[in-house]
This record gives sequence, structure tokens and C-alpha cells, in this order.
Amino acid sequence: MEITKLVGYTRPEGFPGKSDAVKIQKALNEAESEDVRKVVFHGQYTVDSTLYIPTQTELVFEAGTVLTYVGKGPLFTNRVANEPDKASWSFEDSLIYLKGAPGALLTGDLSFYHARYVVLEQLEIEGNVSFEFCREVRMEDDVISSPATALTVSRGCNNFILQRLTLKGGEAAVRIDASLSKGPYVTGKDADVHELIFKDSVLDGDPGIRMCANETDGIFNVQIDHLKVSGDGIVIGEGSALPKERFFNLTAQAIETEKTAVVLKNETKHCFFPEQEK
Amino acid sequence: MREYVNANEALREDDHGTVTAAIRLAVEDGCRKVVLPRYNARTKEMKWTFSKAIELPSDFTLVLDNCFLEQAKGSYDHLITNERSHDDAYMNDPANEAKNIAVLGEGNVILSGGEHNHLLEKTGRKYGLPSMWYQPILFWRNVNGLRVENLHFQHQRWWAVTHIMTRNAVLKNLDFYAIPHVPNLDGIDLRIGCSQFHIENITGRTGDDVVAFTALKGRGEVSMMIPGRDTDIHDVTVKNVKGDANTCYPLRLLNHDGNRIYNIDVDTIMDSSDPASGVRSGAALSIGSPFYFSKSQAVMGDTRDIRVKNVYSRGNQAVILNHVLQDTTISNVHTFSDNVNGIYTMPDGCELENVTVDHLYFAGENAGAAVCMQKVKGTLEVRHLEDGA
Repeated sequence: MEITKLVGYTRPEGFPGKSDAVKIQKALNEAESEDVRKVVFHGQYTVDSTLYIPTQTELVFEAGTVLTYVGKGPLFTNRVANEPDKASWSFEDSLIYLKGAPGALLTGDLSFYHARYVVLEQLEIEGNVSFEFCREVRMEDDVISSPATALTVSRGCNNFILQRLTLKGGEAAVRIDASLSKGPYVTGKDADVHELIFKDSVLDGDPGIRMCANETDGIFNVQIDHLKVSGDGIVIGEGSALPKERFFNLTAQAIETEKTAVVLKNETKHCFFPEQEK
Repeated sequence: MREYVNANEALREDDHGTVTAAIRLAVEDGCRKVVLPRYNARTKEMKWTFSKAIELPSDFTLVLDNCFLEQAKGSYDHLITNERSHDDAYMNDPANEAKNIAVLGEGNVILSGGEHNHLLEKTGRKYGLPSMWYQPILFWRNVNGLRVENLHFQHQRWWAVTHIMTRNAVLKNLDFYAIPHVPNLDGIDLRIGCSQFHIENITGRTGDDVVAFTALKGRGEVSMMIPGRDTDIHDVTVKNVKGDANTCYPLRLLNHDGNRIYNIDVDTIMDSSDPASGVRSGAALSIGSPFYFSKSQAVMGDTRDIRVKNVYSRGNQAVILNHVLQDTTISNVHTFSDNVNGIYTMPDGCELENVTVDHLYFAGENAGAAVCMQKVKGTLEVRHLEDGA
């Protein structure tokens, strides 16, 4: 409708529905069908089922907005995550932008799968945020807390910029795990985790970051810099010994912790851990 | 005073006329802010097409809200520039320095060069064609106070975002995608006289250097010099450049002709080129070159006080040091399995004074060397080398 296009966004309040989840999904779908590509949230919402974000969509959570999730699975995921027959290169979702504001809160998990150009900015989230087979991701100025792990970067993820995050986990605050899989393997993508930049953040978890790999898929080209961590800083590897090439070209510097900055449970290759050199 | 003017309030005969009228309204109102929405009410499309550049006055903010902007087919002008940026007599007067201009993306914003107009460096100013300086998508000349944030650039026709004689600028969250079908599809260029820049989160794939600091005088820069202003590039911080530069460099520093580059701080360069594709960056970082000068080559002291840390290369080399370099440290340098060399100098050699590489990790799986330099005058100090070869 012309009016929707002129306004430039949809709002859940503009749609009928027996629940907030129905209204919100209609707002997302209408933003796509009218090609306005933006949904604005304001107020209190109770969501009882997963919401699917179409490709090329911005979600704006205005100041004071609260989404409380009472359903199963994640609160938000991208659409292709729900379409297992699209687990190949050409069906990648892209340009998904979630922007928060002071006082805006999402309670529930956010799960992104097979997506490119994902931005999470100024969000407060009570739940886990996870990525699988995602690339070109930027997270800045977010606060995430979870009884388990706050942030999970699993197989097939690359080219991430993570800065000024405050993350609290009941176990590790962050898990970077090339062996971890939830969805189907995406044909045409590689499963390694690489090209990650993670800086200037506060991690409340033990450890702050847990890094895991497997026999075939590893983690490389990672720059971790200036973290304040309550537990051990970074733990690399788990029980079984993997080839050192699975943890390659990793840097962890300026890790502030009263425990151990870097704990190596696996051999690594060409890694720079200056705290360990002292 | 309003909060802003929506461009759709000022519809004119074409998109350039519309936005220009909206800018005028915003100036008259005093809000000095225009929002360009996704929907173009004139054409009923989700697209804005410009055959002439949007010219922004001083003290002005242009917000692009989830919109798609394209340089028109067959056009020879930018998408956005500062007012009268090609009026040499006006621009070269220091009193006419533009001030406080912001171009801010809201959500997912794409600026596109569209279909290439066939204007190339070898045809510029020939056959009735204009100068190449009209090709950049964004062009900033003699601006003091600039913010450009949160934009995706596609299919630039030349250097996508170009600055000359500009200072106090913040460039953040800029992404590029270019297919290198013509030469010189750089991402961000700082030319002569650029200083006090902060550049952060620059990503994507370009057809040439992702970020280039090039203080030269051979491409028409002389006509853009401003009396009393220096032509050096200095006091720049760069944080997080992560890109695929085709066969060139995610970050290049290059100066000649009496222009200097100094006080540059760089934190994290990641070359994300893919060796498996057969096309990879020349190196993650290149400083200096014996070529590209018009009048005189750089001399010792012209390229100095450069501090680079955290370099990850998948290119032919990790770092190239050429010609002259002084008082420079490069630390935490990583190569990938496909790199040929770690630190490299072209056959013309180089002269170094107080240059250190600290913590060099050389994978060494190809025939090559952690340090491959010839005709070196002076010394390169390498501390903490892990050589996989």
C-alpha cells in the first residue's frame, strides 16, 4: 500500500491477531511484501512462538521496548533457518539489521543461520545469541546474558567484528566452536571459523571464551584484544588432542583476568599470546 | 524547527531536483537535516537515481534510511559531494572550507555505481569525456568535519569514497563490493592534505586497494591544493580493515612529490582474499613504492612514524616495504599457508631507518621466505620470528 511505503516501516500494532507473535510476524511479512524492509517496535510484547526475519530487513526496537518470550526455540531467527531445503550457497539470507535503544530488552534466544551482513547494535538480550554458517557479522554495544552461553559462533562462520560487548554466561560467556552444528550443512560453504575480530569487551563467564574444533574443521585468523574477564580468559581445545592446525593464527592480547589469560588444552600454531610469554 | 525534512516532501522533476529542494527546505527551516527514505514517491520505486551529484552544504546531515541510491546510466558525477566541490576557484580559497557534514546510513543502505559509464583513466579528459575526479560515489574536497557511516557500496566506477584536502573525519562501518572489470576500483582513498581521520570497520571486496593513503601530485591533485595548507597525510587512526583487495592491498600507504605520510596508527588488518579462487591480495599491507611519482620520489623522512599491529595476510606477501621508511613498527604479523613471503621488498629495494617487525609468524608452506628483501639500505630488525618453513 502506498501509505505503508510512504511511512517507510510497519508496526506490529498495525495488524490484527490473537497474539503479539501473530501481529509481529504479519508486520515482518508485510515489510517484505511492500518492500519497505523495516519494522519498528515500541512498547511491551509477549511472544509465544519463534519469529522469522525475512532477508533484507531492519528491526528497530525503540527505547523502552520489551519483548518477552514464552515460547520454545529462539525468539528470532532468519527465515532460511526454517527452510532446510535451502541449505545451499545461493539461498543465503542477507542484510539483517537489529537495532536497539536505551531500555529496549529482548528476552529470548536469537539464532542466525546461513546469513550474510547481520548487524546487532545497541541491543540488550536475555538469552543466547548464536550464529552458524554466517558471514560479515557486526555486533557492537550489545549486552547479552544467558544462564548458559551468551554468544555462540559455530561452524561455517567468518568475517565477524565484535566490539564493546558485555556478555554474561552461566558457563562460558562465548563459545567459538567449529565443531558445533545445529542446522544442516550448507553446500558451498566451508565449516571453518575464521576472520574474527573481538575487542574491547567485558565477559562474565568461566571461561570468557571457549574455543573448540574437530579433526577436520578449525579456527584461524582470530584477533582478540582487550577483554576484561571474570574467569579464565580463553580456553583453547577440549579433551581430545587435535592437530595444531585446527587452532591457527590466533591472537589474544590484553586479556585482563585474575585467573589465567589463556589456557591451552590443545596444541596451536602461530598463535600470539603475549600474556603467556611474560 | 522541525526534526528533519523527508525528501518526498519536495518532489521535483528528477531525483536530484527532489533532494536539492529538500536540502533547501532543511536549510531554510534550520533543522539542516534531510532523510532520504527507501521509497521514492516520485517514481513509486524503492530506488533513487542520480545523474547529478547531491551537493551538501556545511553543517548538514543527510540520513539514508534503508535506501538504494544509484549513479545513473551514462552519468558522469558523484552520488554525494560537498557544495561546489569541483569549482576550483571557490574550493581553493581556504575561507570556503566546508564544515560539519554527515552522511549516515540507517539500516541497510546501498550506494551503487550502477552500470559503468566507460570513463577510465586512459580516457579521462579525452574524447569529450570529463575528468576521472567525477567518478567517485562519494567525493569530499576541502571539508573540515566529516562523518560517513554505515553504508554498503557496490560496483564503484573508480575510487568509491575519495577525500582530498579534508580533515577531522570519521569513516565507520563501510562495506564494499566490486567486480574488478575495470582498473582502480578502490574502496577508500585519502589523497593529499588529509589529516585527523578515524577509519574503522572497513570490509568487503574491492577491485583495488581497500584503503589507500596516496599523497601524490600526478592525477590532477595540484589543481586542488589550497594555499597555506599542507599536502601531507597525517594523524590517521585505522581500526579493523578486513577485506579482499583483488590483487592489491587492504591497506596501502604511498607518497611522493614532497608529500609526506606520518603519524599513522593501524590496529588490525585482515586480508580476506581467498587463495582458492586464484586471485588474492598482493599483501595485507604495502608501504611505499618507487613508482607513481610525478616530480620527485619520496626521500628518507617523508614516510615515517607508522605503527601497525595485528596483520593477517592471505596474499602473496604479508607486508611489502618499498622505497623509504623511517621510525616504523609492525607487530604481530601472520601469514597463511598460501603466502609466498612474509616481509617483502620489490626489486628496486628500499632504505630503512629504525624499522622493526615484532612477532612474525610465517607459515612457510610455499617456496619463499619469512623475510625476502633485496637492495636494502639500513636494517630491518625482526624480533620473535616463528618460521614454519
